[in-house]
Amino acid sequence: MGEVSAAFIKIGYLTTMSYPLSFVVDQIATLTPIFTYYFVAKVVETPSVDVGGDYFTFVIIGVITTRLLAGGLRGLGDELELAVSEGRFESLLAQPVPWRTLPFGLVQWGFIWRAINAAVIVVIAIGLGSEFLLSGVPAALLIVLLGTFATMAIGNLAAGVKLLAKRTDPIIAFYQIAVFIFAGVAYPITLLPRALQIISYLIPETYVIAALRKLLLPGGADLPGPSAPSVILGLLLFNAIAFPASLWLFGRTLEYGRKTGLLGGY
Amino acid sequence: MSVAAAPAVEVRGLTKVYLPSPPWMRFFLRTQIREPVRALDEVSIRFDGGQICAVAGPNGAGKTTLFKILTGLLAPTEGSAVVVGIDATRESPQLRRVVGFMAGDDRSLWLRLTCQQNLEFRGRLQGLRGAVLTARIDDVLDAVGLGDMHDRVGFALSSGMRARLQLACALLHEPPVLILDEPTATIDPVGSFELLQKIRQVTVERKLAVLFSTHRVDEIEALGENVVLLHRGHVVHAGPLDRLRGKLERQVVTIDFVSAEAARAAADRLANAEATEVVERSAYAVTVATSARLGDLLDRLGEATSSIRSLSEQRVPLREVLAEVLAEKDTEHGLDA
Repeated sequence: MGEVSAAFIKIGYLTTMSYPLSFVVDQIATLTPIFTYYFVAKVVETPSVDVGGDYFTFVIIGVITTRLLAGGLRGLGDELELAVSEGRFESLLAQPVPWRTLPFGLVQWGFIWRAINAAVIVVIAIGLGSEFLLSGVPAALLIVLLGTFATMAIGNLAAGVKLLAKRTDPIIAFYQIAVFIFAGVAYPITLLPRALQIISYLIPETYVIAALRKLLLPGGADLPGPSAPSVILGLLLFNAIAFPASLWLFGRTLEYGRKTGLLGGY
Repeated sequence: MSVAAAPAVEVRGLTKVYLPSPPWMRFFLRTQIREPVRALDEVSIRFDGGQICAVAGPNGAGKTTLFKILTGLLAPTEGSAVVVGIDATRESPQLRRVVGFMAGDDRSLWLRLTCQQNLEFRGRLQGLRGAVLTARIDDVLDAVGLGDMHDRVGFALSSGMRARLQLACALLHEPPVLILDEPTATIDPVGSFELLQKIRQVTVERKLAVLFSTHRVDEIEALGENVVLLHRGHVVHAGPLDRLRGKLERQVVTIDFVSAEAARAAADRLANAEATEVVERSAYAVTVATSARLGDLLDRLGEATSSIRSLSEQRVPLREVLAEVLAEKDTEHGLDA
């Protein structure tokens, strides 16, 4: 398994680095929201609701968390789509690797890259005046890891749909809209009407973002939302059920593709 | 499990029917067919290690479906397929360890990466590492004639070289069976010839069983000691190429006579001969297509044999043999060719 992981990470790295211009432009693009929110934060220097400190740091935590968790959500589907459209998917399936390990292999480079990208954003944010509580970092990393597995469970399901339906991945499209609106990326979910907050609590990102703000913002402890230990427990329970189930469903999708001959088409 | 005595490939009663998506599912996913398609119908073949077998047939004959089943990429509807003792109808890494698969186009390669990097990735997926992996890469690149191309990126290789790199990828984990799906599909004739030479060479050197599909008659003649001829999902022929020729063996014989009179008399006699057809006639020569033995043909000529100046014979081209065998099959099934 270790060797397979290393193989996927290396091929991901080599492929990314073989497009240097795209690599540089992509990185610059991911940094753009930092500056946008920096100036938006200047506009709302005194927020009307409690954001646990300054608004800029509050948003940056939301942006980083969403980006990291999107690796779990989109990673497999995107990699599968690329492999199918570039014609490599069937030859990948012809390798002596258990098919159920593919979700792990294909997304790893994406995770690593997103983690590096998040670290860069944090450094820039600190340079622009953000303050984070260092004591909350270990628990925050654990929550991000658990949250990534949670979104990966949803991503595996979506990848299965993409594998058969090819260009449509409606689950991801709807999910990402829901995250942006309901998970509290740019504003506290308490601003949403009470009925809509129910949707917020159906999305793993909501819990992860809330817990990270409690852990990392200097005034975050008093923010509304579940505590970090309860989020860790909740994610552990969610992952214990959802993650194996998603791998099983992904395997069933591959098996259905084997029966119908839909695996290699696009 | 000992696999030494097992046939390289054994397929029994293999049937694959592609079904259209159920109506309620069509909004989400749609197969490109409206009616069930029987791609393979009760296909049974067997061949042993150390042999090269060509799987031939027109488009839609079922070649790719057969290959996908043998590599575990497709599940059959009925029947069994066993590759060196391993059930190919189930998805299993064990099967993929004994099969080296080469797709028909070069899209399975990372063309922006070097030969070495492409092979390293495949090797690691196959559990190879360190010095063993390095030695294998050197070995397979040498075997396919790319020994000095380790650091050449895929895009800088010719189509023929890319095909050879794909062959190297398929050979990397030392599988006893190679399955090559139209390996020369994108290559020019010279590149094809070189690749076929390499395939023959590694088959002999490594005692492999090689199953390759092709549309090209020259490739069947060059490599196909054994031929499986598929047509509309049925096996029309499975066995040595010579036996396929024998099914419709006819020779074209041109007999030159010393006089026009003798030629005319011979043409009259041969016109009524069994299994013989006069296909061309000139003043001094008669050309016939016949499945009769040459001795019988000469007997039929009687006294005219003494007027023969020369006699030449040639085999019917394989292309014509294939076309006639397939047309015959269509007639049997009441289908248009």
